[in-house]
Amino acid sequence: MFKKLILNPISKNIFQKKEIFSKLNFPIKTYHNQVKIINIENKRTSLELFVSVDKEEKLLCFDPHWLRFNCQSENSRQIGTGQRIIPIQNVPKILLIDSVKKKDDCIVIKWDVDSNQPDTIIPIEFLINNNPSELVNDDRYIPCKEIKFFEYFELVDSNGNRNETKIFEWLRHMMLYGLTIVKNLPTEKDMIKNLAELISPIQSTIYDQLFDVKVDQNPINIAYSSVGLEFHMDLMYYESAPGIQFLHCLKFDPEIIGGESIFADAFHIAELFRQKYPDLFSTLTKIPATFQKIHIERKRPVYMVYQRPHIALNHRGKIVAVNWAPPFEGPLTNLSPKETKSYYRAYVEFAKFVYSYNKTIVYRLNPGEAACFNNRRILHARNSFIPNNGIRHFQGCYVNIDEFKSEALVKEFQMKYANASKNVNHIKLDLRKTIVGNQDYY
Amino acid sequence: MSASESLNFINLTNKVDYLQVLVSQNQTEKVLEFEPHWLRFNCQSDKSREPSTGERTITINNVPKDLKIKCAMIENDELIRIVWNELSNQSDSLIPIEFLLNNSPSLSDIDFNKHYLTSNKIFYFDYNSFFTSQIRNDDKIFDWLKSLAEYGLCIVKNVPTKENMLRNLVEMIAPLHRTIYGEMFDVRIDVNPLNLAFSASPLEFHNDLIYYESPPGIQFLHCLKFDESVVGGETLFVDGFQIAEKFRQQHPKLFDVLTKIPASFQKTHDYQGRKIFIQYSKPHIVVNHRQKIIGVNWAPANEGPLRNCTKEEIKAYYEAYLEFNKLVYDKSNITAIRLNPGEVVCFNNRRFIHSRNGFKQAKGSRHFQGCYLTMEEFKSEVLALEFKVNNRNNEQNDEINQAYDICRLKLWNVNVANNDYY
Repeated sequence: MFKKLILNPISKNIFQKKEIFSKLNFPIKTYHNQVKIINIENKRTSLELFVSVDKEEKLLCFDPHWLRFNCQSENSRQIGTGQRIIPIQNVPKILLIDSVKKKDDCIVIKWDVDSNQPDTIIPIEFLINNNPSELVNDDRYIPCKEIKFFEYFELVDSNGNRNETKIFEWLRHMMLYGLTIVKNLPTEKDMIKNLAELISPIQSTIYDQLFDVKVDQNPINIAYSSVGLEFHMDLMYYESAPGIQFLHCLKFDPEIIGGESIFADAFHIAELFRQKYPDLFSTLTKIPATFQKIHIERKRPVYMVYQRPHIALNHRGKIVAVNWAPPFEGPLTNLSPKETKSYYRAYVEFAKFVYSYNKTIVYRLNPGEAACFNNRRILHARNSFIPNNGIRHFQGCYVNIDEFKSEALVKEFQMKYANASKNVNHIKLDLRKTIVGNQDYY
Repeated sequence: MSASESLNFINLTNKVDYLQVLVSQNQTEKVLEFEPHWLRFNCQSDKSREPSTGERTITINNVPKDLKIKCAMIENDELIRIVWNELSNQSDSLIPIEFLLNNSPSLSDIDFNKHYLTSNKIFYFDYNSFFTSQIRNDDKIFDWLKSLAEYGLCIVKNVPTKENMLRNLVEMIAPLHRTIYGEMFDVRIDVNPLNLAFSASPLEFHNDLIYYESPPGIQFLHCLKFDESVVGGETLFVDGFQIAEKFRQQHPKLFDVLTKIPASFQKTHDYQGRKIFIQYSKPHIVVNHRQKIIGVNWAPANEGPLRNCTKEEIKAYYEAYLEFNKLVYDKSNITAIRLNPGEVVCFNNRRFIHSRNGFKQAKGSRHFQGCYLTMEEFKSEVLALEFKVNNRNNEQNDEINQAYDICRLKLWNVNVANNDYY
């Protein structure tokens, strides 16, 4: 799907690429080298493929409608855009496979005459990598217990040349662990934009594109003061709350006491909570909380109210989002007394869990350092501080969660398949299954 | 929620484990119950809410599991003060009576209202009426936005057919929502289209940019040129809420399947040096804890392979999927509009699935410009305007406690299909 990319010379050679991979600890298993079809069986109401993938034998089973709708031929997918163009109303309720054969690297399916469907052509690689019955059970993220540091000038040099390999390492770490700090980002105003835009255009919100975190006389947010902030996620009243948050320390005078940033992994906390209190956990996935931002005395008055449960599960009961922002909560509504009681029992206990979590990371940002973290997963807090006439000034911005994940996947694709003409929809990317907290059911 | 308008406070009784409040509504008396924790967390005093931002500052860890009301009394005729049992070590909670009445969780029983409106006709608004000698006419603009929020589809006439005029219209509401298609996009025939929309092909019914966690809220399409010689090209709309409701009535089991088994959406996009690869799974119909429909996700062109599903689930999914599609294409559910130059169709991109008839342009051409707003920003402005229009003559603007004013606004609970559980 993507045109071939010319990367810097080092990655043109596959063997050298493997070396780079092992330095970065990439698992190579998704690089399917040996795929063998052992047997194809047409079961009329299903298709069975007995394959060996990298010497592991498996039986894959495919539903006829799934096959029909995933045809990759020109009849079904528009060439330029990749959009599906199958007229759904012409697909009958009952689909029977007349015959199946292997042609080049594809499976060709002929449907029974009555169904009046064109042949379905699907690359074998697509079938293996997109097998729907492969239930995703491995670890989808790694609990974040420490900070990993990156150097700004290793990501992009002083001439503005990007180091794609290093950038991918940075993105990959934020995908899997949720938190990094980039050092030596020049303490000039708006430099943080340069860092964020390595990923994608900035996500603009009611706090504009870039916001300043420093003590304001009349703060529009308690962050713009010297009080401590409880663990929370930013802008929880947005359906798609900011994905990656960047906080660039411009100034943090030594005479200031306190003001450390604190981070905690909400995914891990929620998992532990589930293990200890399964019933309370369940309550928090069902009864919605209210998040709000109502502020009239503001340049642009804001009236945002949004309800969603604190924890979101997919159809497999996996945690796909955690929503925690006590300062931005509003009144629960539309609940029976029993539900309200049950909610608060779970809520108070979960809050206790958050407070007593012992893997929090406390760090006093130094000027030039930018904390970059998944705002949908890593709770952040701040110790209160005593200015003592010193200045503490951070500049911040956000990147949309879907665009962040997209960039990580694109980079993974480029790293692994740049010189092989692969279709990104046919192969399997490792990072695809990483949970980033955007309520994706996958 | 409008039921709260006519609520009158009668008295309160401390039941220790909860607070009982007697109110009257249309000459009937009702009893409201308030859980102690609900009261504690909704204290509106300076100790609990930061005065300028309204943000809550209660340290949850200091709130015990057990809370009992020692006594409850009325102060200054408008506040309720709750004194907690000594053991709990909680400061008094202060809650305005109005807040209590407007936000009671057990108000008017459990809310099963749909909170949106439907109509057989399309509403028209006149761009020229939005200004009176270059000054914004907030009443007229509010009428337009209110209609757009509640009905989800309307047309603004007389928007000059100059490129980028659309920006002037939409920025009256909020900043444009930038997507991978930029801030504004042109809908006309492109040689190498990024999207089938930028061609003369017919389009299947869909929501735009469905593969995002939060797809664009409101879409605007400004007809700049649509020559009479162009055959076809009508814009078609189907109300996702209505067909989902119909589906629920006609096929309750299949409806259930579509709310549970997630569909796969995807986008690969390579344009001007930027590559996008998004994959996102979510059900076609989203329901909240009351089984109320709060989201509809339909975009066949952007579907990918179903993932992480058992054989039985896949079978059930396709049975439901094919059946639901019939409702999408049922002519009785479709509204067709042939836009005229100068008209801007404004619609809720989450609620209304839209499509286009293919067209032939031998001579003449068809050119629209489009843009989006996020749902939050749209809805926020609707409420801000409602507040402004309602309180124009109100002297006490400065005294308003912003934390509870939202409930005086009628439009805050309009269902705009953005997965809000309310």
